[in-house]
Amino acid sequence: MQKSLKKYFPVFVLPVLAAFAVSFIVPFVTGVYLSFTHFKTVDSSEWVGLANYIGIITEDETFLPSLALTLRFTIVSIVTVNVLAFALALLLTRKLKGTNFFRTVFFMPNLIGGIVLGHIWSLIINGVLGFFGVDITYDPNYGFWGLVFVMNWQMIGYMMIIYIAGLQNIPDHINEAAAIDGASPARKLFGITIPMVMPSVTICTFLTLTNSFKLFDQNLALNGKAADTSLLALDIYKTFYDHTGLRLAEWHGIGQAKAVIFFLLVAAIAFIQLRATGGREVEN
Amino acid sequence: MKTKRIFNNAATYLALILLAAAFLAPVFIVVMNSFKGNFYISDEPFTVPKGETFVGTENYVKGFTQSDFLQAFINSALITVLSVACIVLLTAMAAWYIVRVRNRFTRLLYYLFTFSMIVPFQMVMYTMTYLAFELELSSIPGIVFIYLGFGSGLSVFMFSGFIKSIPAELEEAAVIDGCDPIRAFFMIIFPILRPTAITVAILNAMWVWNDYLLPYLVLGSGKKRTLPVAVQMALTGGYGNKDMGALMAMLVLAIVPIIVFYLFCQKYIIKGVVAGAVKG
Amino acid sequence: MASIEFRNVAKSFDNGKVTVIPDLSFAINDKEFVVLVGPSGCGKSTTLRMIAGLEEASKGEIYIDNKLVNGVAPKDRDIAMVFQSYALYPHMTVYKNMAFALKLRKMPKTEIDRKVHAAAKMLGIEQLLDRKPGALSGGQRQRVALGRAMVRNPKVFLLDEPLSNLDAKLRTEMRSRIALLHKQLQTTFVYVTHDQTEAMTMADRIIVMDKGIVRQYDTPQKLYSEPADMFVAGFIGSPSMNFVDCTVRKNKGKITVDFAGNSMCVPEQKAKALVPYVDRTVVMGVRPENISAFADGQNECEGCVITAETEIAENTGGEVNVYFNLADSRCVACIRTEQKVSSGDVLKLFIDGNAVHFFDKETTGAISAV
Repeated sequence: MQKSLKKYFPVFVLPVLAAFAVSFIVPFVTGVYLSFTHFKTVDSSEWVGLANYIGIITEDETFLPSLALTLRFTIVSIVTVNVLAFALALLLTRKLKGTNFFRTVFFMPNLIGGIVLGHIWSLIINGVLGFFGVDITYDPNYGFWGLVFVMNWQMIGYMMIIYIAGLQNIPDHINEAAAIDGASPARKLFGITIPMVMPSVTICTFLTLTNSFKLFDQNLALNGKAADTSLLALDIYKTFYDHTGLRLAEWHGIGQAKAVIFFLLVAAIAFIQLRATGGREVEN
Repeated sequence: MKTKRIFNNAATYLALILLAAAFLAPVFIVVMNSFKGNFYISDEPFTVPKGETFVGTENYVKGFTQSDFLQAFINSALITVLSVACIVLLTAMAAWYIVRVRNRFTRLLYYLFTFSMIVPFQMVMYTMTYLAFELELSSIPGIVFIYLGFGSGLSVFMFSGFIKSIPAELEEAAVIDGCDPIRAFFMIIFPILRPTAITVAILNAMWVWNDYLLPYLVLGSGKKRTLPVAVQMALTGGYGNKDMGALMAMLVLAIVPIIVFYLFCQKYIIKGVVAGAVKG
Repeated sequence: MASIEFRNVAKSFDNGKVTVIPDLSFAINDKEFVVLVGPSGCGKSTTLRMIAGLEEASKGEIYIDNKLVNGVAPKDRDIAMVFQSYALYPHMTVYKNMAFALKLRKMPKTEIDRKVHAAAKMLGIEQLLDRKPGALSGGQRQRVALGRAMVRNPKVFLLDEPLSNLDAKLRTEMRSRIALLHKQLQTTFVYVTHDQTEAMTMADRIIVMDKGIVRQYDTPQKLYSEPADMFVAGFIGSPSMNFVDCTVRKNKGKITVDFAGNSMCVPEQKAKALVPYVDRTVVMGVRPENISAFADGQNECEGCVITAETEIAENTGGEVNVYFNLADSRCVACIRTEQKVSSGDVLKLFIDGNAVHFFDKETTGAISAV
């Protein structure tokens, strides 16, 4: 098959490759190049070396706060989402009737897109804050915890499904052995259940990590207008599109440099994840 | 022992019911407000519509007509259906070629597709938008082409994983039976790929349908806008008094298709979404 | 209904880096059942795949029915192939699996229907036609794979280790079924296996291959009685042949071979060939079934009596496999005895001088009178 198939390259691969080149390969390569230039549009670039990367620190005032905010948001999300999802998974694996219904309900928010989701929550949060005569842009903390709420509402059901799968994979005889040994419920949870679902914990931790780190739509819809609650992705977007005037070329360059750094951070996370999931499998 | 068990179960159910209520509350609040008059939405957002606050389907009529919601809905549906069809079929073909024709070039392609999965959209956002305009891709067929490119990373990766498990003997049997590569693919390979194709279709459908930034940048907020763009425009665009009632109705209309889709193929969706997570 | 011929065929992979077959020539007659046998990696499957056209020969010519088929697509070679994993299309019913090739050839529906049912009837799988392969047992899948090949009336039937995924009992049953099929279909069969029992029981002729080279190509009987070299001798027969180094001596005009303190006089017709080897070491080959328990009064002249200390004894029912050491070689004898043999027992065994084989120690080739 290999030999006859080889001639069919134009039919089998070319359409995808052409699309892939236009949407990814070419933009990626030019993107890396442009991060070392000032450019008003892509075809009018001027080489400036590392100036953009230096400019992120010296000229730009939003990147570092935004990075700090993203890190804080990511850590809080990882903890809250995983603890709550795991707790739900424990409740739903107690062999009760009707768990399917609850599973359906908890998973549902995951399917609603970030924009719609963000607006639903912005309505509710602003509705509550309305009683006090303020809105979500009033205090950066409101925006921050609003994002944590949105993230939890969307991701808990998803992570719960992965945890349920992990919990159901624990062989019955291990729990029975623990019961015979007279282990208390708390002991059983920390001594047996949690170590046994460590692979799921790893997967869910990294999923929450990347999803929180790259969050954009929810951020834009919930509090996109607030200046001080932009996560990294939104900050890059604003660097590109919220600037006008004479220094546009410079801001474009800085935006693209930010994007490269953002990419390197995400790639580093992915690399660590690969090592973590490849290296540590639970033994049965 | 038995009473303790019953008590435990009752406590679990109570916790679950409260949590479920909390999870459904946001959607419920939006639905509730979509039947209220404009004035009452901002004033008493958490009360049930009744008597004078209840306006029936008025908001829905407005939501539909005012924002040209129908146009955005049709755009989104068209883009989603076409993109998913193209992605599923064409990336399956590419993955088969890449797995079966082993040489340096196909290996490089495989690594590139895998690599693209970890690159965040912001990295290529500006340059891709520029290229899309240069190539005049600001149309529905154009964005379908772009979605094919962006979706190819995960999809090729998932199909490749499955194709590697298909024994080569099966394809050899097809060759001896008289298939050329095209027939072998469509009559033998593609039908076997069905379970993965469903997963790939669901993952991409959820992504394309909900995607905001790419269609906003490529198609803009004019006549070609998609549903998420329409929602974003309606809720944040412009100043002055917004018609909150119509906006509520829009949110509900944006959610309903997803919920219906979810309830009908829940099994596949949960399986597919989780499979995508574990692999990607 | 076709002959097959290989003329100086070579096959290498990875742009000539790995040579699987250096130079292969053989001819298979029309309607013959030929088995390609050899250890894994010997090139037998590659040979079969070259006949099928799934691999192209790197050098040389391949003829089917006296027509050069190099470069001819598999579907145009008029062959059918049964794969080790059966390679049934999982999404099609048994009927569609069998009809697939005919449909691609645009055969009329009624004709397809007739052929599929005829083949199914012959193989006893008529009641399975609406099922999918996933719902079949291993033996049933095997029969469907045969049926799929049969409906096409190919000139050549190629089978690649078709029985290796079946359990022992089913394998024996399918062996006779395939042999019967060959008789009914009256076509050329080429069958690849690593199992010498399958080769011996089914083949008209056997090609024994090793490292891409034909070691011997002959009938099963000839392979057993006149193995061309030590490889063939060791490969055919179970348990395999014992090899013992021995020295050829000439004593008072008589040729003897000496090993481990024993001296065996060699029967006349074999002795002649050993003359050039006098005072040199040769390898004596003895099949386990040609070593028997020695009874007093037996004629010692046509063989040799040895004493052996039993290391392990395996009772297989009618016979006992006795393992022992002889002149630094581990040997086995299949003896018929009523007595219980256990390890440590010292036995008197008789080697049948008429049934021994001699091999050149350097070339490993058989030493035979020309």
